[in-house]
Amino acid sequence: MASLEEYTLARDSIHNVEGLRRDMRRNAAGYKSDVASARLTVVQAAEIMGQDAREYLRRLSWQDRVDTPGSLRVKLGNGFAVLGVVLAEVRLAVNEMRAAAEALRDASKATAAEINTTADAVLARVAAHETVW
Amino acid sequence: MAWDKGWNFRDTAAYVTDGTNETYVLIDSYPTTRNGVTFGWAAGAQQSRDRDSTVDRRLAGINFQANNGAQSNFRVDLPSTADYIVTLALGDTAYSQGYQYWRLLDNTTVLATIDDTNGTVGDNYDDATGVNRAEADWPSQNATIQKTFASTTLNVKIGAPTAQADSSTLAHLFLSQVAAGGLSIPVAAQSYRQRRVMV
Repeated sequence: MASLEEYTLARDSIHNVEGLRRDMRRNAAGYKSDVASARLTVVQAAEIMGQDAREYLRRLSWQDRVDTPGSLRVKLGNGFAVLGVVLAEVRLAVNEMRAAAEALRDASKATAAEINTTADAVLARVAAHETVW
Repeated sequence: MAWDKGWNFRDTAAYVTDGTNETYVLIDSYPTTRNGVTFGWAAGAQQSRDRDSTVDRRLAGINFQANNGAQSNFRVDLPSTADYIVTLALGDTAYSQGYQYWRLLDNTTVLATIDDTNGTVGDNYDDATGVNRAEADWPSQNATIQKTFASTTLNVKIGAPTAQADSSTLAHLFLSQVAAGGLSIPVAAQSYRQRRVMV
């Protein structure tokens, strides 16, 4: 059993982490196609990639806040237990995405080739998960 | 660095091609990150439609909330507290809507409200000042509003708070940061930014 608060913490946590996985992969594919189609210049794409990276890290920090030793982590763990999800698996996913976001933020993005390489690195680092729709 | 972000509300991403600094909203739930910004529908039972791909890309579709007394809440996470110029298209290229309701909030503080009891006829939109613009006129004539945000949470609510006719239909929203920290800037510079937003 979990309380309503614990269940909601776990549900929103999964919504954030798995939604971020989707966003990172979709956006990475988008950078490539937007530069290839000239919808965005390299400079524009690079700026958006940097902004996206900062937003990814901000969303991951939400997970850090609830998954640090203390009462919040206990509540989160109780909620995950009801859902049958192991907290360590979520933490692993967060670490994987953080590494990808930091690499996205720090990479040189001065040419179309570098935009492609950087986007491909995100796609390689952040695993695709199946979706229902 | 300028922070200019636009959202074109519709049902299919590839229905039209968004401009620079714009992205689509297909009733994406909060939090969604795209185009360098985190946003999405945080509450409500909104729906989406593609309407006409031949009109201005910003008016090609809608997300909407039936005017049944419930409201939908679109949230944007701003990069900092600041003044922002707001551009809006509230209407529908395909159908008349008997009532349009839109409210802009700085987190929970109301900054602006459009309570259009006459609604909009087809091919017409309320701009951010609540003035009705014909579809052909909106791109060049829509007027913007400038508001100060003391928080980094922008909320837009659509849907009449009491039951009314038809739906409140959101086609386009654009935000342009004026100056971080709510600093005032010269009037001439504001005018320049406003002209640029409306291009």
